[in-house]
Amino acid sequence: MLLKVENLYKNYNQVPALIDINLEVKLGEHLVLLGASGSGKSTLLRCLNWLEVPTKGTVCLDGQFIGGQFNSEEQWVPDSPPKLAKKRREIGMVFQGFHLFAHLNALDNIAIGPQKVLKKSKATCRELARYLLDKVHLKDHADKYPWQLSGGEQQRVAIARALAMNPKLILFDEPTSALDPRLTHEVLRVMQELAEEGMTMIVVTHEIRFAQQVADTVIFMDHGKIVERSSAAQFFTRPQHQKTQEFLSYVL
Amino acid sequence: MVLIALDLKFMWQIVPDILQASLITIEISTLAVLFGIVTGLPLGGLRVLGSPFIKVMIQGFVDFVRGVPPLLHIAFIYFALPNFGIRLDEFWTGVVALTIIAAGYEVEIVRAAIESIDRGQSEAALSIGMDQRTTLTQILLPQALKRMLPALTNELANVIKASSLLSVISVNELMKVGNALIFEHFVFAEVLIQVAIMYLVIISFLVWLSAYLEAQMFSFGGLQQSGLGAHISNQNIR
Repeated sequence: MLLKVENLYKNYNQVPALIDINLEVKLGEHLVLLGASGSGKSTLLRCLNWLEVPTKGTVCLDGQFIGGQFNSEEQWVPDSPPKLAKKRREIGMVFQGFHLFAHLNALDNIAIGPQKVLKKSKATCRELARYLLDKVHLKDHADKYPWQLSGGEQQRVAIARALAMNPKLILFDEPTSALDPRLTHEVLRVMQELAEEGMTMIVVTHEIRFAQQVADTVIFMDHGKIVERSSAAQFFTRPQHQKTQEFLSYVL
Repeated sequence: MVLIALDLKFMWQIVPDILQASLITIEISTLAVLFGIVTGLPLGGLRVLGSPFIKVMIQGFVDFVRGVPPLLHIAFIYFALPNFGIRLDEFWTGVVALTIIAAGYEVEIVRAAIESIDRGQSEAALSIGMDQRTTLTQILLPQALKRMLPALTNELANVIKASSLLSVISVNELMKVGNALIFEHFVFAEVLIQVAIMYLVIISFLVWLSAYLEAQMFSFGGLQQSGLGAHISNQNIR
């Protein structure tokens, strides 16, 4: 079991955004989170790397709790920022808004993580960056700055940037929601290739066809709760819950 | 016609004195702004990312600096500090006082520049495991520097004008020398005009320099994309 989420709750000023979330993700599994806007799927994703701090509950990656740990008296001790930063190296994230570092070109965007965080040599990092750039089919764009790249290209660089840290799992927060269909296709293609190589992925998306093709497991959320969770095959052919059926009726 | 009423010969005569005094003004102001940046930058960073206690302390410093007239800061350092065993000569009093004043404003300038950066940049940095210091130095500050330039130029102009207050403690900067010339020769208009022109020249040169640097920094960096184009055309430095 690579990732274990137990009894997760998140409130914003007493307004519940996540209610009693429990889930497990195996190594190499591809999990897709579906749901209407506001259902809590992005919030859940952001809790996994502690970009949002849960109100209650735990997230455990490969045996290590994210955001803190239990001391010998079973009390929760929050992580210091440097400690949290170290744990975050294991989890990659790809954002809806790409968020490439605006002052760096594509190559440096990818290389800066290994260089400044993992303290590898500049040459090694650049070589790694070139390899990853090639992997996302952007070999010739190394010197381009984010504002010179299309949305799809930026997102692919963002995926390469996440890969550069060699994470155990990558979180995708609506990676293609800001892209037109053609650019969406470029990015989904890279994500599919990643999935085929065995990367553990949790994807929040509205791309149903991608979910059908790539997901192993699908979770449907509504108003902060997990409504249904099943294998991809079953989810799309035999949805159990009424809310799931309703949601799927809009998209299929 | 107006020029005939001025003693042009006298104006020419005092030019060397004016220029020499200007040098002192430039010296003190430049040192103050540089030291101000050196202290203001880390303080600004801490103001954004530090613990709540540190944030409050720094904000307290900023409020104190901005809430008290510069003349009082100068007077305090020169006249009151000796009571506590710290005695500085006029020149260094001037530099220290102006540095403190500059730093107070620069902390706010740095803070505003950093906070104006899209939050996604920090989140992306955190997501690849950068700690707060690395995020600040590698991701936020490089982008913030471009945004600080207009406000810093404004601050430099303010410091130069505030340096005229040092005349009160006998620093031989531009204002003091101007005053001295006035009382020595009982000539008002000529001296005041020249002093004013000198300040204008110094500050205008800096404004030009800043615009030049801004253009350089913006030439590679996607000015169009970041929507900061208005900054360059808005040379609203006063």
